[in-house]
Amino acid sequence: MRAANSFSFHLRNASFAFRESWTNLANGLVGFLLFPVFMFVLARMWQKFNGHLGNYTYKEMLAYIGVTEILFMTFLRTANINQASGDFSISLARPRSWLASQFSALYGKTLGSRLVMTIIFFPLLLLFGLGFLDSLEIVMRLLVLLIPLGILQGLYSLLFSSAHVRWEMTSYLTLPFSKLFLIFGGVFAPLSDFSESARKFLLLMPTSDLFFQPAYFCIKGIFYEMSATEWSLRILAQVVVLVTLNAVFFKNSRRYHQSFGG
Amino acid sequence: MHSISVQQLSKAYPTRNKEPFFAVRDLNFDIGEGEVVAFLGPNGAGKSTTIKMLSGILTPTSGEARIIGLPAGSRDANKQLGLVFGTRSQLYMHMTVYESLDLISEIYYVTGPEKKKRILHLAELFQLEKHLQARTRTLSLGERMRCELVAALIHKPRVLLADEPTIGLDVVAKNKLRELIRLWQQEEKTTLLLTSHDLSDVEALCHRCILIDHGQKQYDGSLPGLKGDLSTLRRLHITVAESEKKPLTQEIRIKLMPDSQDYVHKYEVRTSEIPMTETISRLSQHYGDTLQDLQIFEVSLEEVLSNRFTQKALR
Repeated sequence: MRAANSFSFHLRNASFAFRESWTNLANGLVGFLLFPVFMFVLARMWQKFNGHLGNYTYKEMLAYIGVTEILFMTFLRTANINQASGDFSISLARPRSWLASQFSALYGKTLGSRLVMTIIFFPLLLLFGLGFLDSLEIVMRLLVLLIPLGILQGLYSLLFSSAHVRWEMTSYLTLPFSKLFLIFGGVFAPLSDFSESARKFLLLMPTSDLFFQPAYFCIKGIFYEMSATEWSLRILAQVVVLVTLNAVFFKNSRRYHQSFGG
Repeated sequence: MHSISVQQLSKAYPTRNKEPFFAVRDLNFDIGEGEVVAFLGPNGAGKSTTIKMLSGILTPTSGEARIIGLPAGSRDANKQLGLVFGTRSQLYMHMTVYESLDLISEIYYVTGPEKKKRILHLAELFQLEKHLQARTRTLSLGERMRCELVAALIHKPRVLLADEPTIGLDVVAKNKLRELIRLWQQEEKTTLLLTSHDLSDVEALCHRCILIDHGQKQYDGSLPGLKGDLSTLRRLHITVAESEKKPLTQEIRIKLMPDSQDYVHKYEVRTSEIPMTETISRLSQHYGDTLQDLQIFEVSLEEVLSNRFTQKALR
C-alpha cells in the first residue's frame, strides 16, 4: 500500500515537472531559434570534412546533429538541477524520499523539455528536405528512446543535485562534466567516423550510450556494432551503478549540508 | 509529552584553523503543546540553524531534537511539521497556486477529496480564493506569503516553525499575516516557534521567548520577564507652551533626561519607586497651565534586546 502510494506520488511529481516545463513553451521556442542554424552549419562542416568517408548521407547528418542536439541541450542543465533543488532546504524537511522526489522531478522536466524540442525537430526535418515518413520514423524512434534516456539523464543530474546539497554551488562542476560528455559521447560528430583505436575506446565509455548510440539508432534503425539487447543491458548496468552512487553520495552530502542564507 | 524538545543540541562547522565554529552549542529547551514561543537573537545567533535542525534540514553535530517525541528529521516527525521561511519559497513559481498546493498536499499524504476540501477551506480562510488560479510568480509578496502559510498548514501540522515569515512585508500585509497565524493557532492549537527580527510580530503573537546569542541560550521565559528591571521604567515627554519654563529638578525620583529640548522635557521614572499617579500629579503641579501634552512610553522590546546584545558585544 505504501509502495503504491509512493509510486503514485512520484508519477504525479514527474507529471507536475513535465507540465511545468511546458508552461514556458513560448520561451522554449524562442530559445531554440538557432536550432536549425546549428543543424545546417554543423551538417555542412561534417559533410566538408568527413563526408568522403561515406558513412552517412547529408540528410542523415542533419538528423544526427538534430537528435544529439536535443539530447545534449537537455543534459545536465544547471537550470534544471537548480530548479529541482532550488528549495532543497525545504524539500529535505519533507516526509518523502528526497532522492526519489528529485529524480521524479528531474525525469519529468527532462522528458518535458525533450518533447518540446522534438516537436520543433519534426517540421525542421521536413524543412531540410527529409521525406514525411523518414522524418516520422526518426522522430518515433527518438520518442521510444526518450523514456530510458530520461532515466539516465535524471540519475546523472541527481548526482549534481546531491552535489548541490553538499557544496551549494555546482555550476562550475556541470560545465566541465557536460563538455566531457560532449567530447566522448559523439555529440555532433559520430564515433563511427573516428579512427579505429579511438572508436573502440569511446564505444566502451558510458557516454556513447547517451548520445552516439541513440542518434545512430534514430537514423539507421539499429545500434552501432551492438544489438538492442546489448544496449539495453548497458543502460541497465549504468542505472544500477548510478542508483548506488546516488544513494551513497546523497547520504554523505546530507551530513555536510550547510543550508546557507538564513 | 513536549511538542518540541531540544537536549544538548550543537551544530559545529569546520574552519581553516583546528577549532570548529559552533553555530549552536549545547542548547536545551522544551516547548509544550499549543505554546507560541518566540525564538530571538541577533543575526548569526543560531536561530535559523536550530530551526533547520528541528526540521531535519541540518544534521546536528551532537545532542538531540525531538518533535512530538519523534526524532527530528524522521519521516514521521516531518509529517507533523509545517515550515514557513520568509526567505525561501516552497511554491512553484510557474504553476498556479492551486497546482502548487495540490502537489504539496500530496507530499504530506493528503489525498483524494480531503485534499480539495482542505485547499478550498484554507484559501477561504486566508482570503486567497481569487488567486488560486493565478501563477505564483504573478502574486505580490504579501499574497505569496499567505500562500506559503497555506502550503505549510495544508496537512494540519501539530508544530509550525516560522522563520521570519513577515520579512519584507508592508505594515498592512504584515498585520494580516500575523492575524491569520493567530487565528489559526487559536483554532488548531498548533505549537508555534517563531523567529523574527520584527519584534512587533513577537509582541503580537508570543507569550514566551527564548533568546539565544552565539549559539547559546541567554534567556527562556515570559516577554515581560525579558525586560527585567526595565519593565518598571517609564519615559514621560512633556510638551510645554513656553520655552522659558524650567523643567522639574527637585524630585530625585523623577529624573530629567539630558536630551530634553526647550519645548519638550523628557523624564524617566520607575513605577517601583514612585507610582504613576504621583508622578503625574507632581508634574501637573510644576507645569500648571504651561503643560500642553504628556506622553508616557514603556521600554520597547527592541530596546531591551538591543541593550542586551550591545552590552554583550562590548563586554
